[in-house]
Amino acid sequence: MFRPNLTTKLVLYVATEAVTNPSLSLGLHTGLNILELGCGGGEIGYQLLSRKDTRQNISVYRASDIHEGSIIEAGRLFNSLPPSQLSAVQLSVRRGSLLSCWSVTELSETDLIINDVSAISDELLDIYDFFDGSVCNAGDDGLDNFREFLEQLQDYIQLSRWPGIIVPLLSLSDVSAFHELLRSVGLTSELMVSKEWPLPVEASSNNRDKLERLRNASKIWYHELGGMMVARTDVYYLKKP
Amino acid sequence: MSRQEEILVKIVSSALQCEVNMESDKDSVAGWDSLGRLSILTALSKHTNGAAAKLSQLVYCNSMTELLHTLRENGVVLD
Repeated sequence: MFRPNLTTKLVLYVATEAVTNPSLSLGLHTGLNILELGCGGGEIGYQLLSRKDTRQNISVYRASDIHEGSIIEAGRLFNSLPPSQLSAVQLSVRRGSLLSCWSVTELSETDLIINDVSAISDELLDIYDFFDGSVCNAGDDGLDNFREFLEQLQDYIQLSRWPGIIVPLLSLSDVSAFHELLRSVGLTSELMVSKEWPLPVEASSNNRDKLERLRNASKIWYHELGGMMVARTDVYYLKKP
Repeated sequence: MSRQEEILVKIVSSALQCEVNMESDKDSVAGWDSLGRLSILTALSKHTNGAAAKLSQLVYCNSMTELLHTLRENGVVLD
């Protein structure tokens, strides 16, 4: 099951900003309807709903993950919140892939999607165990899940307006292809936060040739610093102008 | 403490945002984890105008003495 990590913290930071900071030009408001995809064990939703400054702006929180163990843990975590804190929030947790477990009506009501579905190149899965056995299947460029998400968003919904979308982009996927995807569907992006982090030393050293090949093919990006291979997570806010 | 040691202590203390000394290592300093190591390497690289970044052995240094030894062995001077 996926465990919270640095990317989780960064996504939570951006989600908190989106929900609380009126000076940000995100066009969001109180009474928010939020959908979190790839919720893992529920850490992000739990944090947003446990803090008064974020909870007070949320009316509906929906969370889903493809992994059954994650959903069970998320349910336990949400149930640990005091009932008084959740009385004004409609909370749903479901198992499913991307948007498939949510109805057209539910999706059309959504103000903000937090898309935290795994996205690193499949070619790295035999090098790093970032997802603790959880499903990835993001393709060679790490973007298959995001591609499918965008297709579903366009196909499933008759939207009068698109929701805002928070999405982390790890440099262990094709960053250029990600931006090209956004352009192809008319989404603009605002980089909200960026943080470098070290790749596991031994695994990286033992697979140096493969990593260099993938970087040369622009499937991933990292830089080297004193023998450490350093990747980056960028968290974007996406919207249709 | 030599001048080099003084500078290294200052760099690593700043990078890890805690006081260290030349006896410090990854087991004695709570923040000397993988992210802390990245902070140390970033700070050393900045201080040495990129010279430290080229030393691939630095990532394996787990103590202040190992850091200083590796820098000296490769002719990287902290000043």
